[in-house]
Amino acid sequence: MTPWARPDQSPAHESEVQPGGGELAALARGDDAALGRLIRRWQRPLFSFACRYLQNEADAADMVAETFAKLYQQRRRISEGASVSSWLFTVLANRCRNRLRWARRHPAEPFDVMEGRAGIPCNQPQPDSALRQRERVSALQRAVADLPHELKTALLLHHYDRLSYREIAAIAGCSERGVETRLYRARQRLQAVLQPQLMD
Amino acid sequence: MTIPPDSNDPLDPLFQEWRVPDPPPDMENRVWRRVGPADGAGRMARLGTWIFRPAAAVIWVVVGAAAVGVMGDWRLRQLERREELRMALDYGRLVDPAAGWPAAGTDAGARLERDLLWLRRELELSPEQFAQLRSLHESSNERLQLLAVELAQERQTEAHWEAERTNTGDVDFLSYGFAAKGVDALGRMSAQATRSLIESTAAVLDNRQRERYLGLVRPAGGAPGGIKP
Repeated sequence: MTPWARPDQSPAHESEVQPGGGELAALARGDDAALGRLIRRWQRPLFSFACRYLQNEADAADMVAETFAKLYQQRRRISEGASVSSWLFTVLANRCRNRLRWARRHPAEPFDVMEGRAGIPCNQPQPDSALRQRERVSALQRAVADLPHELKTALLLHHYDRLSYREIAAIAGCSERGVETRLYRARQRLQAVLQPQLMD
Repeated sequence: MTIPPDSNDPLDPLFQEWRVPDPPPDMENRVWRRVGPADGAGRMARLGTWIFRPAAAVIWVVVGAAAVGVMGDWRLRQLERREELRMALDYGRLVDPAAGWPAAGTDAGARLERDLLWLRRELELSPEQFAQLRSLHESSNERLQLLAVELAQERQTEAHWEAERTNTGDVDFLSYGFAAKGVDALGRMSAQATRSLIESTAAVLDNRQRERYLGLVRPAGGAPGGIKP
């Protein structure tokens, strides 16, 4: 389990040293092994985003795999100097939104819901505390799931993937000011819905 | 710019409690499975890598040998088929010399002998059948050749009158008519003689041979309608 999907804990975060650009160029030149390196570098932050967005592990893995597949297929069309992370998160966010829309049109019994699973450390000594924590996380998951796409994307990218306003703006297709507004509105909504849990 | 968590946000502790699992360990395979059907270039690149592996070399050699074998066999069949067509055409000339095909380079006797030997091989004739067919062909060959020569002469005459009519606008239509009738009559006689020879030949053969024989004669134009295997 990953408590926080933090790309800034890995050796190089793109916003600082722009990794991935070289790999993308290598991929465009026909070095297929570069895709493996990009997958190893970006799968964790992308998967954690998709998991939290979709709240379904299988769907999240599918969306991430499809995103990388699209990166490979588009490798010669992505302009040089483009931010790999922005490209990946943009595609992934759109795919997650479409997947959710599809799921709403085709309701089925979920077989892999994460609700209630997350946030329980293996060495939790106190069952009551664990139960309370589970309820709090479940409430947060429901509240996040109810957010509209724009707010949810900004919130997850900011709070879990630690992207800057500029990077989120590039992904969301809005201004940095717009990102700030979205984050504010998302937090307002969550605070309103999660008032009991925050008081706990 | 990397933004630190909002330190005063009461939601922060709650955010930190929401954990997610690690990505599946086979993510790379999942990606390649998706890329495979859609990306021709990537597929070719991976194929290029694969074919140079030692294990693939054995398969390559086997496939190559099989391909050479298949190609060789196909080529042989093609040559056999071409030879069969050539011989069938030759036989067609024998039974229908009036069709206007150019005469073969060899003399008539040698040509008859060669065509009959080919027929014996193709139809797997018994000695008795072969003797009967030889007799039939030899007896009709002279008449067929004669009709062919007369027909050719009559056609030349007809062509002469036609040229006269075209060039001068004036022609002896009586002579022209006789020539045209002669061509028509000789053509019918020649076709009847050919048909008679083919029917007589077919009568000597059993059903399987007859079917094969008529199949051989048809491409050469030697089987007038009405002959059923």
